[in-house]
Order: sequence, then C-alpha cells, then structure tokens
Amino acid sequence: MLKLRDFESLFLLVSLAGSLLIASPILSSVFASRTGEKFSELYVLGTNGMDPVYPFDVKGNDTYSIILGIGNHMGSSSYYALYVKLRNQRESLPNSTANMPSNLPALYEYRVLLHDGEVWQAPLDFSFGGPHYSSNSCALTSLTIDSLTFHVDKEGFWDSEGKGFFFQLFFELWIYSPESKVFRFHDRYVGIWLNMTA
Amino acid sequence: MVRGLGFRGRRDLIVFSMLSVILGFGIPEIVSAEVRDDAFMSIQVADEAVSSAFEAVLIAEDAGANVSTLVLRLNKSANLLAEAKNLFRTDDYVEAAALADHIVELAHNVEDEASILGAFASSHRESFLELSFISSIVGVSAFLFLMLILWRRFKRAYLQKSLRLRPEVVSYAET
Repeated sequence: MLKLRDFESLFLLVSLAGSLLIASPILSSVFASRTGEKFSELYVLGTNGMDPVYPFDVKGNDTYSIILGIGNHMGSSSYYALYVKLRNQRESLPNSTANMPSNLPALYEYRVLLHDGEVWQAPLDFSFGGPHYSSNSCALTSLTIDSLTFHVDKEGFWDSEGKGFFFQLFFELWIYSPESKVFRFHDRYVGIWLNMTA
Repeated sequence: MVRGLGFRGRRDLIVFSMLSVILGFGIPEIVSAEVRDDAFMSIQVADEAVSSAFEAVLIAEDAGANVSTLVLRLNKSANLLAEAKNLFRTDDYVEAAALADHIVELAHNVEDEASILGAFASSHRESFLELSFISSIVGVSAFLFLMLILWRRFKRAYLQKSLRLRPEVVSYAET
C-alpha cells in the first residue's frame, strides 16, 4: 500500500503537470522557436518541366529555352536576386567552400520575393550573337536573354578532349540580408554547359 | 562671301567653326554620361526603396500580420527593378530611369502599408500576450488552490482511515 509521502509526491506531480498544461499557451508564445532546416532551392529544368534534356550543342542566333526555379524554405519571406553569368572553361566558378561568388559580371538578373514554402519558376530564352571562329578560339559578341541583347565579348577555346568550344551559362543565387542591408551570395549556383557549333 | 569679311569676321567664323566641331563631338557624350548617371542614381534609389519595403514587410510578418498581398505587390516591384537593371545593362538609360521612378512609388506604398499592418499586428499580439499571461496566472492559481483543498481532504481522510485501523499484535510463540 502507498504511504502518505508517496501520495504527497503524486499530488505535487499532478499539480506541476496541470500548471504547465494550463500555462502552455503563454509558455509556447514566449519560448516559441522555429524548428527545421532553413534552406533555399535553386534549379534549372529543360523546357518540358522535369525533362532532364538541356540545350547543349548551340548555334549562333538560334534561340534556346530553359526553366529556372527557386524555392524558399527559410522560415520567413525572402528576397532573392538571381544573376545570370557566362564563362568559358578558363574562367572561375563560384567557390562553395569559401562561400564566394564568381568574379564575372552579371549579364542579366531576376529579383524575386517569396513566402516561406513558395516556389518560383520562370522560362529563360537565350541566344548568342556571333560567333566568330578562328583556328582554336570562338568569340561571342552578344547574348540575348528574353529579348534584351547584352554585349559579352567572350572568347572560348578549343577543347581537344571534349572536341568543342565550351561555354557555361550559370546562375548564382543571392539573398537579401536585413541585418547587413545588402544582398549576399547564398552559396547556391547551377549551370548548363553549351558547345558552340558552327 | 568669306573674302568680303574683315579680320574680326573671319576670326569669329573660325572660332564658331571650332566650337561647333568641339561641341558637336563632346555634347552627346556629356549628355549620355549624365543620362547614365541619372539612371544609375534612380535605380539605386529604387533598389533601396524595395529593400526598405521588404524589411517593413518582414517586421510585419514577424509581428504575425498576414502579408500575402504585400509580398505579391512588392514582388512586382522587385521584378520591375530587375527589368530596370537589365535595361540599364543594355544602355537603355531613359527607360531604366523611368521604370526606377515608378518602382520607388510602388515600394513606398508597400512600405507604408506594411508599417501600419505591422503596428496593428504588434499591438494585437501584445494584448493577446497580456490576456494569455493574466489568464494563465489566474488558471494556474485556481488549479493549485483546488489541488491544495483536494490534498487536505485526502490527507484527512487518509489519516482517519489509518487511525481507525486496529493494531495487530503478532506474537511469536517460542517453541
């Protein structure tokens, strides 16, 4: 049989549990914390949505299409900048380890505001002006994105292993930081390789 | 005609010609640089206006306000800002500046509404917290008081029951 002291402990325990239960609304609002991993998605799709076939062998003045997507899972609304950049094989990509963006200039950009959990997608149509070929190089003079033409002056070099003049169109995701009041590189980028053919 | 001019007339003609040549080449470049600088400044102002409006929206969201409509409207401003920046990159400074001025107006409207919505949500949240706090204190006090009464009654009943029990004498007969 239980002793009086055991019953006393039981009453105290029930009192404590009941008090916590009654005070739970205020306690939850005071100690509320957002759980779960905070991250953003960045992806590029073929024009058929999930079709993994991207443009690869491209010609000057022909138009190609891809779809870009951003997903916000940061726990609150986020303000993104997506920069479109073009590089040849010798130029640098962003450095994920050091969280550093590429030092190449942005040719085009998107600005997107998303709720937590919201996804943005947009088609991107592009074509190249030029290209001018010499013995082992291929020079691009312009890049047209969504009907706007940008001067690029980009030279690609013959890749004897891959047998082509390769350029990479890549996309860097930046996010606005309300603390520092500037956009900072969000350590995410995707790109597609393009082989410039005559 | 030139032969008929005097020394002063010829000098004026030469100075006028030289000025025309210099200004003809120089002015468009100066104007172009000025237009570009103006567009750059306008875009910078628009950029700051959108960022500032976004911060106001974030504050309102943190205070618990429903900011869906504001985010949609500000997203439109952000899209236009990207368009203005892209136009600037194609040297279309006039269009870029015009767009930037429009963005500033849109962003300021969003910021004003976000501030009002944020202040309202904040005061609503504060009064909700106050009410929750008071009701929690009252609820916990009442519950503890009830438990105390229950405990006293239980203790009394337990002790009375214990006292009613007869002591049992156990004798061990030595064998």
